[in-house]
Amino acid sequence: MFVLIDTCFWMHAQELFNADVLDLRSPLSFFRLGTTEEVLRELKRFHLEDFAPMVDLYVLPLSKGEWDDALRRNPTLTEFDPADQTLAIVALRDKCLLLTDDGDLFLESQALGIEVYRLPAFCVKLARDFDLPKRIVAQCLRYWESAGCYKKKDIKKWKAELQLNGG
Amino acid sequence: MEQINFRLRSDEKKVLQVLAESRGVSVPELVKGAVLKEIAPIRVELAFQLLQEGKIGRKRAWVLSGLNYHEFMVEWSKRGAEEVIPDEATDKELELVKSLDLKKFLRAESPAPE
Repeated sequence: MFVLIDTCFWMHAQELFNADVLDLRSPLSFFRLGTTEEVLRELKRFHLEDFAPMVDLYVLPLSKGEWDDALRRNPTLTEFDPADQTLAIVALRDKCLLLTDDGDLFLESQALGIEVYRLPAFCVKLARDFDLPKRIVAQCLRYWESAGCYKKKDIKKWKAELQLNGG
Repeated sequence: MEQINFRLRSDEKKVLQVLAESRGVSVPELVKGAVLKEIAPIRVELAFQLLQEGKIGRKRAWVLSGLNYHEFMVEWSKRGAEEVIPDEATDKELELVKSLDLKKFLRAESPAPE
Protein backbone atom coordinates (compact mmCIF):
# COMPACT_ATOMS: atom_id res chain seq x y z
CA MET A 1 0.00 0.00 0.00
CA PHE A 2 1.15 3.51 -0.83
CA VAL A 3 1.57 6.78 1.01
CA LEU A 4 0.41 9.75 -1.09
CA ILE A 5 1.71 13.24 -0.37
CA ASP A 6 0.21 16.52 -1.51
CA THR A 7 2.11 19.57 -2.73
CA CYS A 8 1.44 21.60 0.44
CA PHE A 9 2.96 18.84 2.56
CA TRP A 10 6.11 18.80 0.38
CA MET A 11 6.32 22.60 0.48
CA HIS A 12 6.02 22.64 4.25
CA ALA A 13 8.52 19.78 4.58
CA GLN A 14 10.93 21.86 2.52
CA GLU A 15 10.36 24.81 4.85
CA LEU A 16 11.22 22.63 7.84
CA PHE A 17 14.38 21.42 6.09
CA ASN A 18 15.45 24.95 5.14
CA ALA A 19 14.86 26.08 8.73
CA ASP A 20 17.11 23.23 9.98
CA VAL A 21 14.24 21.78 11.98
CA LEU A 22 13.73 18.40 10.31
CA ASP A 23 14.45 16.55 7.07
CA LEU A 24 11.34 14.44 6.63
CA ARG A 25 12.73 12.77 3.51
CA SER A 26 14.72 10.41 5.66
CA PRO A 27 11.77 8.81 7.50
CA LEU A 28 9.67 9.01 4.34
CA SER A 29 12.24 6.96 2.45
CA PHE A 30 11.10 3.88 4.39
CA PHE A 31 7.62 4.12 2.89
CA ARG A 32 6.23 3.19 -0.51
CA LEU A 33 5.51 6.63 -1.88
CA GLY A 34 2.92 7.02 -4.59
CA THR A 35 1.78 10.01 -6.59
CA THR A 36 -0.22 11.00 -9.66
CA GLU A 37 0.74 12.66 -12.94
CA GLU A 38 -1.07 15.84 -11.85
CA VAL A 39 0.83 16.06 -8.57
CA LEU A 40 4.14 15.48 -10.37
CA ARG A 41 3.26 18.35 -12.67
CA GLU A 42 2.57 20.56 -9.65
CA LEU A 43 5.80 19.56 -7.92
CA LYS A 44 7.69 20.67 -11.03
CA ARG A 45 5.64 23.87 -11.30
CA PHE A 46 6.57 24.80 -7.74
CA HIS A 47 10.22 23.79 -8.23
CA LEU A 48 10.14 20.91 -5.78
CA GLU A 49 12.08 18.50 -8.06
CA ASP A 50 15.28 19.02 -6.10
CA PHE A 51 13.61 18.44 -2.75
CA ALA A 52 10.95 15.78 -3.30
CA PRO A 53 12.47 12.38 -4.22
CA MET A 54 10.83 12.32 -7.67
CA VAL A 55 12.46 9.05 -8.79
CA ASP A 56 11.12 7.25 -5.72
CA LEU A 57 7.55 8.34 -6.34
CA TYR A 58 5.57 5.58 -8.00
CA VAL A 59 3.02 7.12 -10.37
CA LEU A 60 -0.35 5.50 -9.74
CA PRO A 61 -2.40 5.50 -12.94
CA LEU A 62 -5.82 7.11 -13.15
CA SER A 63 -7.79 6.99 -16.39
CA LYS A 64 -9.95 9.91 -17.52
CA GLY A 65 -13.04 7.71 -17.27
CA GLU A 66 -12.21 6.64 -13.73
CA TRP A 67 -11.55 10.27 -12.81
CA ASP A 68 -14.88 11.45 -14.24
CA ASP A 69 -16.77 8.60 -12.55
CA ALA A 70 -15.19 9.44 -9.20
CA LEU A 71 -16.19 13.11 -9.55
CA ARG A 72 -19.75 12.06 -10.36
CA ARG A 73 -19.83 9.87 -7.25
CA ASN A 74 -18.15 12.51 -5.06
CA PRO A 75 -19.21 15.91 -6.46
CA THR A 76 -17.57 17.82 -3.59
CA LEU A 77 -14.22 16.89 -5.11
CA THR A 78 -14.92 19.18 -8.07
CA GLU A 79 -14.11 22.09 -5.71
CA PHE A 80 -10.48 20.93 -5.64
CA ASP A 81 -7.74 21.45 -8.20
CA PRO A 82 -6.81 18.51 -10.47
CA ALA A 83 -3.81 17.45 -8.37
CA ASP A 84 -5.85 17.21 -5.17
CA GLN A 85 -8.74 15.54 -6.97
CA THR A 86 -6.46 12.78 -8.23
CA LEU A 87 -4.88 12.30 -4.80
CA ALA A 88 -8.25 11.84 -3.10
CA ILE A 89 -9.56 9.56 -5.86
CA VAL A 90 -6.48 7.33 -5.88
CA ALA A 91 -6.25 7.28 -2.07
CA LEU A 92 -9.86 6.14 -1.92
CA ARG A 93 -9.46 3.56 -4.68
CA ASP A 94 -6.16 2.06 -3.50
CA LYS A 95 -6.66 2.54 0.27
CA CYS A 96 -3.58 4.75 0.49
CA LEU A 97 -2.48 6.83 3.45
CA LEU A 98 -2.74 10.48 2.47
CA LEU A 99 -0.41 13.12 3.90
CA THR A 100 -1.58 16.67 3.36
CA ASP A 101 -0.97 20.10 4.79
CA ASP A 102 -4.11 21.60 3.33
CA GLY A 103 -7.12 21.86 5.62
CA ASP A 104 -9.64 21.54 2.79
CA LEU A 105 -8.14 18.32 1.47
CA PHE A 106 -7.72 16.99 5.00
CA LEU A 107 -11.38 17.52 5.88
CA GLU A 108 -12.68 16.23 2.56
CA SER A 109 -10.49 13.13 2.79
CA GLN A 110 -11.70 12.41 6.30
CA ALA A 111 -15.29 12.77 5.11
CA LEU A 112 -14.61 10.28 2.31
CA GLY A 113 -13.15 7.78 4.77
CA ILE A 114 -9.55 8.12 3.58
CA GLU A 115 -6.80 7.55 6.15
CA VAL A 116 -5.26 11.02 6.30
CA TYR A 117 -2.74 12.90 8.44
CA ARG A 118 -1.67 16.48 8.48
CA LEU A 119 2.06 17.11 8.83
CA PRO A 120 2.17 17.48 12.65
CA ALA A 121 0.03 14.40 13.28
CA PHE A 122 2.23 12.37 10.93
CA CYS A 123 5.33 13.51 12.83
CA VAL A 124 3.70 12.52 16.14
CA LYS A 125 2.84 9.16 14.57
CA LEU A 126 6.46 8.67 13.49
CA ALA A 127 7.64 9.45 17.03
CA ARG A 128 5.06 7.08 18.47
CA ASP A 129 5.50 4.07 16.17
CA PHE A 130 8.69 4.67 14.23
CA ASP A 131 12.12 5.94 15.11
CA LEU A 132 11.72 9.71 14.78
CA PRO A 133 13.12 11.13 18.03
CA LYS A 134 10.52 12.70 20.31
CA ARG A 135 12.75 15.73 20.92
CA ILE A 136 12.79 16.49 17.16
CA VAL A 137 9.00 16.36 16.98
CA ALA A 138 8.79 18.51 20.11
CA GLN A 139 11.08 20.99 18.36
CA CYS A 140 8.78 20.95 15.30
CA LEU A 141 5.75 21.58 17.49
CA ARG A 142 7.50 24.56 19.09
CA TYR A 143 8.36 25.83 15.60
CA TRP A 144 4.71 25.52 14.50
CA GLU A 145 3.54 27.11 17.71
CA SER A 146 5.66 30.18 17.07
CA ALA A 147 4.75 30.23 13.36
CA GLY A 148 1.07 30.19 14.34
CA CYS A 149 -0.01 28.17 11.33
CA TYR A 150 -1.95 25.54 13.29
CA LYS A 151 -4.63 25.99 15.92
CA LYS A 152 -3.14 26.38 19.40
CA LYS A 153 -5.66 23.85 20.63
CA ASP A 154 -4.46 21.30 18.03
CA ILE A 155 -0.81 21.85 18.94
CA LYS A 156 -1.72 21.22 22.58
CA LYS A 157 -3.35 17.92 21.61
CA TRP A 158 -0.36 16.82 19.50
CA LYS A 159 1.98 17.75 22.35
CA ALA A 160 -0.08 15.74 24.80
CA GLU A 161 -0.05 12.71 22.50
CA LEU A 162 3.71 13.05 22.04
CA GLN A 163 4.28 13.29 25.81
CA LEU A 164 2.17 10.22 26.42
CA ASN A 165 3.30 7.98 23.61
CA GLY A 166 6.30 9.48 21.81
CA GLY A 167 9.27 7.19 21.27
CA MET B 1 -3.07 29.26 -19.83
CA GLU B 2 -6.30 31.23 -19.94
CA GLN B 3 -7.20 34.33 -21.90
CA ILE B 4 -9.06 37.50 -20.91
CA ASN B 5 -10.38 39.96 -23.51
CA PHE B 6 -11.44 43.51 -22.76
CA ARG B 7 -12.33 46.61 -24.75
CA LEU B 8 -10.34 49.88 -24.79
CA ARG B 9 -10.83 53.24 -26.44
CA SER B 10 -8.37 53.82 -29.26
CA ASP B 11 -6.56 56.62 -27.36
CA GLU B 12 -6.12 54.27 -24.38
CA LYS B 13 -4.77 51.56 -26.65
CA LYS B 14 -2.30 54.04 -28.17
CA VAL B 15 -1.01 54.96 -24.70
CA LEU B 16 -0.46 51.30 -23.92
CA GLN B 17 1.30 50.73 -27.23
CA VAL B 18 3.68 53.63 -26.63
CA LEU B 19 4.37 52.50 -23.07
CA ALA B 20 4.90 48.89 -24.10
CA GLU B 21 7.24 49.91 -26.91
CA SER B 22 9.27 52.13 -24.59
CA ARG B 23 9.72 49.18 -22.22
CA GLY B 24 10.42 46.65 -24.94
CA VAL B 25 7.47 44.41 -24.09
CA SER B 26 4.20 43.55 -25.82
CA VAL B 27 0.95 45.29 -24.84
CA PRO B 28 -0.47 42.11 -23.24
CA GLU B 29 2.75 41.67 -21.23
CA LEU B 30 2.59 45.28 -20.06
CA VAL B 31 -1.08 45.01 -19.09
CA LYS B 32 -0.62 41.65 -17.35
CA GLY B 33 2.30 43.02 -15.32
CA ALA B 34 0.37 46.16 -14.35
CA VAL B 35 -2.74 44.25 -13.30
CA LEU B 36 -0.81 41.69 -11.23
CA LYS B 37 1.16 44.47 -9.53
CA GLU B 38 -2.05 46.35 -8.76
CA ILE B 39 -3.80 43.35 -7.20
CA ALA B 40 -0.77 41.94 -5.32
CA PRO B 41 -1.60 43.51 -1.91
CA ILE B 42 -5.33 42.81 -2.33
CA ARG B 43 -4.60 39.14 -3.07
CA VAL B 44 -2.64 38.70 0.15
CA GLU B 45 -5.32 40.42 2.25
CA LEU B 46 -8.08 38.40 0.67
CA ALA B 47 -6.20 35.11 0.98
CA PHE B 48 -5.71 35.45 4.74
CA GLN B 49 -9.20 36.83 5.29
CA LEU B 50 -10.81 33.84 3.53
CA LEU B 51 -8.45 31.43 5.30
CA GLN B 52 -9.36 32.81 8.71
CA GLU B 53 -13.06 32.73 7.88
CA GLY B 54 -12.73 29.06 6.99
CA LYS B 55 -13.84 29.68 3.41
CA ILE B 56 -10.64 28.31 1.88
CA GLY B 57 -7.83 26.03 3.02
CA ARG B 58 -4.10 26.53 3.09
CA LYS B 59 -3.40 25.62 -0.52
CA ARG B 60 -6.03 27.88 -2.03
CA ALA B 61 -4.96 30.70 0.28
CA TRP B 62 -1.34 30.24 -0.77
CA VAL B 63 -2.15 30.21 -4.49
CA LEU B 64 -4.51 33.16 -4.12
CA SER B 65 -1.91 35.17 -2.20
CA GLY B 66 0.49 35.05 -5.14
CA LEU B 67 3.39 34.66 -2.69
CA ASN B 68 5.93 31.88 -2.80
CA TYR B 69 5.42 29.30 -0.06
CA HIS B 70 8.12 30.72 2.22
CA GLU B 71 6.75 34.27 1.89
CA PHE B 72 3.28 32.90 2.52
CA MET B 73 4.37 31.16 5.74
CA VAL B 74 6.21 34.27 6.93
CA GLU B 75 3.11 36.39 6.23
CA TRP B 76 0.97 33.79 8.00
CA SER B 77 3.24 33.92 11.01
CA LYS B 78 2.97 37.72 11.12
CA ARG B 79 -0.80 37.68 10.88
CA GLY B 80 -1.42 34.72 13.16
CA ALA B 81 -4.37 33.55 11.05
CA GLU B 82 -5.66 30.10 12.00
CA GLU B 83 -6.91 27.61 9.42
CA VAL B 84 -10.39 26.54 10.51
CA ILE B 85 -10.34 22.85 11.40
CA PRO B 86 -13.19 21.51 13.57
CA ASP B 87 -12.07 19.95 16.87
CA GLU B 88 -13.74 16.67 15.92
CA ALA B 89 -11.54 16.39 12.84
CA THR B 90 -8.37 16.75 14.93
CA ASP B 91 -9.71 14.22 17.44
CA LYS B 92 -10.46 11.77 14.63
CA GLU B 93 -6.95 12.31 13.29
CA LEU B 94 -5.50 11.61 16.74
CA GLU B 95 -7.51 8.40 16.91
CA LEU B 96 -5.85 7.40 13.64
CA VAL B 97 -2.45 8.24 15.16
CA LYS B 98 -3.25 5.68 17.85
CA SER B 99 -4.79 3.01 15.66
CA LEU B 100 -3.17 2.98 12.22
CA ASP B 101 -0.54 0.35 11.50
CA LEU B 102 2.15 2.06 9.41
CA LYS B 103 3.82 -1.27 8.58
CA LYS B 104 1.46 -1.86 5.67
CA PHE B 105 2.86 1.24 3.95
CA LEU B 106 6.53 0.34 4.35
CA ARG B 107 8.78 -0.64 1.46
CA ALA B 108 9.42 -4.37 1.36
CA GLU B 109 13.10 -3.91 2.22
CA SER B 110 12.47 -1.44 5.07
CA PRO B 111 13.20 -2.44 8.65
CA ALA B 112 10.18 -2.98 10.88
CA PRO B 113 9.22 0.06 12.98
CA GLU B 114 10.55 0.03 16.54
